[in-house]
Amino acid sequence: MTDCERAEELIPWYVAGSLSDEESGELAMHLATCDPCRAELARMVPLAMDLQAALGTVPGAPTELRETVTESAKRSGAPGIDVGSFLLGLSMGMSASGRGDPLQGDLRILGRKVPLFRLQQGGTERD
Amino acid sequence: MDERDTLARIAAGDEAAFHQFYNAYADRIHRFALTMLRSRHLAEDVVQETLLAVWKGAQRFRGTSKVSTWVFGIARNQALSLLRREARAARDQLPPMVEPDPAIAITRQERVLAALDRLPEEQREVVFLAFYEGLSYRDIASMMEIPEGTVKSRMYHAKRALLEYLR
Ligand SMILES: [Zn+2]
Repeated sequence: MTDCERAEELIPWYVAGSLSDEESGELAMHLATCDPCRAELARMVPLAMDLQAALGTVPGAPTELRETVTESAKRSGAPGIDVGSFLLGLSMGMSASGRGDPLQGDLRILGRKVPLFRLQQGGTERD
Repeated sequence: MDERDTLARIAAGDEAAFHQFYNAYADRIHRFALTMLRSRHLAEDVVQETLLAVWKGAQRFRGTSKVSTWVFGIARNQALSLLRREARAARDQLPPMVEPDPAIAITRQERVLAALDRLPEEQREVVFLAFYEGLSYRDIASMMEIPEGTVKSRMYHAKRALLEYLR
């Protein structure tokens, strides 16, 4: 896989703010020297914002559902009853994902901070 | 209140903590399920079953993942099992989330949702989890128990298609 192919694969996650610091840094180094990948980033940012805005318009749960769920929970008794393989499989399959420290930078997309590289003539500069 | 603490209180049978958790997640799960299933009726079932599973199984949360990754993993399993059940009944009758009517100038957001709706379900859910919930490809891969490369590849194809549809 070329650097550009790898960059294109990472750019959506970069824009979503969920890359590790290490990957963000690596991608940023590439973006600093690659016009086509910066252009790809410039296409991805508005798409990400469109997606987040559009998904936010998908209806939330109807108000009356709260009572239904609460009542079912009460009827089902106290927690601790076995609920089968759903949760078991999931909790076993999880790997650690926690990178607690927020990414630094001054671009806020989708409510999250993304390390930003100023796209300007004469190169790219990290804040 | 930290979500992990809330889960611990739920595990101890604290109803107020469950209400709090419901308020934090019901709308998000509904949006996710509706995006995946395109049926309000089924989406409500997913919200209900997922939150009941949280009520009954909060003590099973291992703390090795984000709470949201865990919850959406449950929601996804619920959605997939409903999807399989419905698919046997009448797959083709599931209506698209947005009915595009060329006579009506639709909004940008409707266009985006219509474009999203054209993606295969497996790409749609990755897009939702990445851009709406902010989950990383690692979170999503562990949730779905698939290789990270597969998640990245689904995103890659989704992004290409969306840019094309929305051009
Ligand atoms: Zn490049």
